[in-house]
Amino acid sequence: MRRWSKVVSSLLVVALLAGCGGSASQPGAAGPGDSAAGGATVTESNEVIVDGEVVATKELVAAAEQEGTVTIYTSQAASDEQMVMDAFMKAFPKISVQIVRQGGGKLYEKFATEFRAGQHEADVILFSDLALMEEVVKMGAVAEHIPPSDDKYAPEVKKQGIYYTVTMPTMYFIYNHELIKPEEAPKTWHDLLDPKWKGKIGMTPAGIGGTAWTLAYFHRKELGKEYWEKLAAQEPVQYTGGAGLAESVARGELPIGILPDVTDFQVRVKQGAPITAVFPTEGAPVVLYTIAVAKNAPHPNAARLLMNWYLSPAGQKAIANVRGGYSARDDLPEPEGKPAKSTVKLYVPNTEEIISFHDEWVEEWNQVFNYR
Amino acid sequence: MAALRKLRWTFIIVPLLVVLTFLIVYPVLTLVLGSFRLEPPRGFNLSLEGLTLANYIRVFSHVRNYQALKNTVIAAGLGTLFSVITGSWLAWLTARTNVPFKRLIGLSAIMPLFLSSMVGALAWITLASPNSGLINLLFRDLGLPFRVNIQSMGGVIFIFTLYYTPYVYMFVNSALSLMDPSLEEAARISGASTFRTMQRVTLPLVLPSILASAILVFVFMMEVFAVPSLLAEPAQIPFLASSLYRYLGTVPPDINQASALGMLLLVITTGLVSFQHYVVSRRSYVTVAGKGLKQQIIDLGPFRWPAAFSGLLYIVVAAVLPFFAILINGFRSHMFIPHITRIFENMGTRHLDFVMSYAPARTAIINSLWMGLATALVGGVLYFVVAYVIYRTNLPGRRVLDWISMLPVAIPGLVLGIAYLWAWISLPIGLYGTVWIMVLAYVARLSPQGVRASGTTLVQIHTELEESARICGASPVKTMWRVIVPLAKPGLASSMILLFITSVRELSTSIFLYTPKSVVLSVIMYDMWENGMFGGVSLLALVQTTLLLGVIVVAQRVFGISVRS
Repeated sequence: MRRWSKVVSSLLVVALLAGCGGSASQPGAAGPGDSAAGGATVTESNEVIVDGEVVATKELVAAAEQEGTVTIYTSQAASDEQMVMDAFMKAFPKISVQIVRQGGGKLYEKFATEFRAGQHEADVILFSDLALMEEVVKMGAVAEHIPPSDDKYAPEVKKQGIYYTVTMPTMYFIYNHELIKPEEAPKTWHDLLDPKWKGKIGMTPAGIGGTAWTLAYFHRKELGKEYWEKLAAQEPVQYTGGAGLAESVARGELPIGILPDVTDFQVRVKQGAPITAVFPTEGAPVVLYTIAVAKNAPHPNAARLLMNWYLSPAGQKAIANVRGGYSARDDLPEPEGKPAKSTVKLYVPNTEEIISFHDEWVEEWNQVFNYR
Repeated sequence: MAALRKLRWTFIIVPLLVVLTFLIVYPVLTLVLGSFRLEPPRGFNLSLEGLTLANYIRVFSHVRNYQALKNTVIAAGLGTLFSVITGSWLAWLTARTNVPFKRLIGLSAIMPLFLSSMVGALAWITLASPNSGLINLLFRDLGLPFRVNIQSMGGVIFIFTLYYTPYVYMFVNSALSLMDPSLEEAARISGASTFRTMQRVTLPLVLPSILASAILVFVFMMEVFAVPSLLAEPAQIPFLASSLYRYLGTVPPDINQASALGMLLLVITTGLVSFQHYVVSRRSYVTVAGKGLKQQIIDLGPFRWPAAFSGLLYIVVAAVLPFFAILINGFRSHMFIPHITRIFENMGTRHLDFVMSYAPARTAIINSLWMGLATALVGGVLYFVVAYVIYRTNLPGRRVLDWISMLPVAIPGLVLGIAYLWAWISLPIGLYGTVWIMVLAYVARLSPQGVRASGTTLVQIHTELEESARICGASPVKTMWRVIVPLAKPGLASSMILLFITSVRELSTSIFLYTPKSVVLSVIMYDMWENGMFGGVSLLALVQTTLLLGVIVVAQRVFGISVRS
């Protein structure tokens, strides 16, 4: 009998703990690395301003607060997205944010399946791959919405009224400056072809995702197919993700890594690993991470408010502080540890080509790099 | 009697079949369907139009897939062989000999279970990556020319052996402990030496456990994706499961090809299960016969110390080294170590601070704990009943039950996760998005382990125990409760603990089914992993392990049994 009472009391303890468990995101819970997002103020013309820019009308905010919660489906790391959302919740404490995170293709699969089955869970969607966002638009799963900051985004970085670029990771390369002296380090894409770097470069295969593919496209389009062949001759080590590659370079496993700038931000800037970043002079291609409101969103007003905020200076500052990528807007200061946008050569690829060339060129890339 | 039999048939077999069909067969069918189509069967889109062999043709015409198959079979084969040797050796040491440090060895034999294969791979990359691995740094700074490289075929086999030995250990240990010692005593009285007894009596009796665990472990190695993804793919060594993972990782994911590849694995498993059936049914392995269960402890004499050393060596390699690597990862700001003597520089609590303030992590820990509990209870009972029907009755349809219960093991977790997503999302019973769908998915996913573990225990209990109870007038239920369950308790408890641990570690099914409210620890860790936050992953791994250890200790106190039995 004593034994059973022990069992019961253990179970009770566990049940109590479960009962006390908090929900996913507490509104107003501040995490480390909190950005400078301020609170919201209302003007006489009934506009709501955050950080110096109009973000919504009073009515929209009231309706959003009435809904009380918003769900964002995102391909960015959940822990990163959480810090950005904490800033949003600081500005709008009455709205709590639920984050559903999944890597690119899997996020698409989840969202598409739910949409087709009529199970609408997502309010806002954020894809790291433009092709996937286009698919979703084609499916008719995106709602129309024009944010107040629409005119700050150039035509190349948006589909007006449909989706907008929320951050612009840039493909460049890094090296470990404890292993390579800055005088000897490569400074351009062509420098990487120097035979002394054979076997010492890490990169990601073109078929893995949007960022790697964009770089492969840029290399071939702007530097010619011979660039692929010469880079392949350097016997680069293929990694399945930029983050793992950044960590490898930080550890000193490989001295050079070709990757998107958002993947080394934490380890280079926040953790102080001995890494130097290089924006090659031929150009650094950017990838557009896009955001949109889902059709039939369960909380349509909160969705629009969140999207507006994300594209405003407050939201852009929040994400720059967490991921360190350039904003698609030209009127904001650059992220920590980055040169001013005007001093580097950023290359925005052609959206149609990026999507239509994908299958054929990735297949050829796999052949050139002997990557099956 | 015939009427009674018919009644039992209806009351036991049919509900079990229905439950297992719902949990396992239906999702698998959507998978099979998906492999013959070019568009995923989302929702109830189960039409048979547009069936095609295109996926299979592509899978079979890709040379890489044959290499992947070859590599996978070789690695799984050798891994199984070494796991069986190591696991059986450790089990024998702890169950039957007077080796010193018995409890420590027993605990460390199951330690690797506490680390998910993802974390284990991370730990070993930290230790043994070719240029910056801690072991290699040590060699380099000592001036020694040796290097180890975990990112190789040998590395994969090594990790396979380390992380699947616990399964063999648990099965064999349980069998050895439950065995009727009078059989061995009889052999020894008749003049057989210790060695001869082992060879002629013990070994054949413990063979079904060894075989069952070997087959289980072989199939696990065939389908695990984290280890080959992290260790073999970077070295351009293709494996089946990691190729599958790549199909799913492309943009957009190539699910239909992935399910075709998954079907290949399914065929292999079915073959293996049938083989195991055939072998086990040839002889009677009954050994628990209701007499006193005092086991003979073999005195190893001077061999005690080398034996203990071998056990301790396993502890160092399976537990101490990886935990050390995880600690270093978790408490250093960054991992660049210029010289091995400077390994403890740059320590800090930034990862700890982050994890403590990350609200979803707290939710995830609580969710993982109680979902693990639910899975252990629901699954434990279900599997026990299923195993009883399969192994202890001759009801018609039990072969089918057995086969269904083994199905999930053939299908890599990721693919199964998608199958569940497809299969259950449109069901009007409101399961989607709740925690219960994940518990059900875990229960389904873990049925091979659960049923096999309970089955192994049950097979050893002699029918005469049940018969004597029945003769004394006990009903079947009472017999089960008063006779079978107490005898099977060690095995049952082990299997429940195993279920708990595995469900807390489980990742591939959770990925597709979780929502913010039902997020679990493994999903949080995986997300951080993909984001390169290895420090945070390591810290959470430490939290996860501590929790699991805590639960085991509590379970041991409360239930009065230990996993070593």
